[in-house]
Amino acid sequence: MPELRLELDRAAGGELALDELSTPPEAEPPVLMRNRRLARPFEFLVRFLDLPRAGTLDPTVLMALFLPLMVGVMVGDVVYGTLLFVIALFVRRRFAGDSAAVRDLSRVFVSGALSAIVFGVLFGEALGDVGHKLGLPALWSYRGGAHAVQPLLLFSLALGAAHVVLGQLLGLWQSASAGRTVELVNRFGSLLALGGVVALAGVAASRVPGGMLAAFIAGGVVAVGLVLLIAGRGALGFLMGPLELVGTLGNVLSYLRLAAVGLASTYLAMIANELSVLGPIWLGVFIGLFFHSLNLGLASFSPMIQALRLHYVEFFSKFYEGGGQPFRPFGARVTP
Amino acid sequence: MMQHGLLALGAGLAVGLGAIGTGFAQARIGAAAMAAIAEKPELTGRAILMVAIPETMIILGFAVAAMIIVLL
Repeated sequence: MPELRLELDRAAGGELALDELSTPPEAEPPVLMRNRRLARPFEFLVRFLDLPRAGTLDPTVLMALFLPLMVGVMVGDVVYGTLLFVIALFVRRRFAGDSAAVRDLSRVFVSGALSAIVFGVLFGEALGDVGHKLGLPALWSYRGGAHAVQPLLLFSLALGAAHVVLGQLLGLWQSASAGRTVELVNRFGSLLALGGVVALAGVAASRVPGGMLAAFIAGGVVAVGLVLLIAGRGALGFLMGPLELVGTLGNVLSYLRLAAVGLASTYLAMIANELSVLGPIWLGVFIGLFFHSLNLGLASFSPMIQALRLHYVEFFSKFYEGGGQPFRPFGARVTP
Repeated sequence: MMQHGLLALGAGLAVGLGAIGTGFAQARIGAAAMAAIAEKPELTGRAILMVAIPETMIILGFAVAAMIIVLL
């Protein structure tokens, strides 16, 4: 402040009358998000929900990391990924003009398409099972086969658990830095109970050694977590605490949609291929083109919506605080 | 063979009935959300959030169907 006064004083040639107004304590400072260049297009998607309140976390960077990953898991096809990439670039070149929203969205789609190509290589998929039939190797697990469902489901659940726990950790940090003790205890209890339930599931599937003892410990962790969830909320806590645990488990299960949408897209592509070899060749090409473009239309829309929903509902609900006032700089733009 | 057919029917019912439930809920929430957006366009993000919430039902149906097919 003294520097500003000095600077203004010099600019005004020593004739300066400066009056400092005190801001009312309930006034919230406006919010401006600032991120690295690669993550910046995703600010649009965060703002689409709500602007973060001043002094709270801006999840843009994490969204830039996880959103393309999820879209890639769902599309997971080399040819579809390449087509989406080309379409996104074309839209940006042709329609972006001066619309910041179109520019940002097309960048988001480019990142999603690149990730879809990577997962297409992992799944060994190109236009459904065409790649598989031509001998494209699956680096991880081919989705069209009979044994593909289980690893895909487990991967979705693991990604979901990791994402939700990350959200809960951010929530802990948020409560701690705002000094809200009851919320901190409740969120810690929620985290503990979720960890305990995951451990119990591991014991039940005999993936975790220890048998009865491990089950007992995991059950104890769940109980402690539940007590912490209930604590400090009064009589309402006995209703809200267990409900919140069930809700968190539902959040993790919700990531199963990654597997579901992905499998649906794969099977649609396979059906398109099978229908197109039924008739004469000119009809086959026509039918194949029609169904594949239908599936591509779905692939450009549905995975993005699902990934956004996973962020808004499952991830953000653990820590995000919206309701920020947008920052508007003084002055007006002079158009040339 | 008979048993396989019944398992497949069960899996189909699990997904289908869940989808009906989600559809009913989303129809009403969607209509209300459209009305809200027409009045206040800045609510679009939160409206999508509300429309997305009942999807849990069909996801749980899918989980049951997947369990039927993978485990049984």
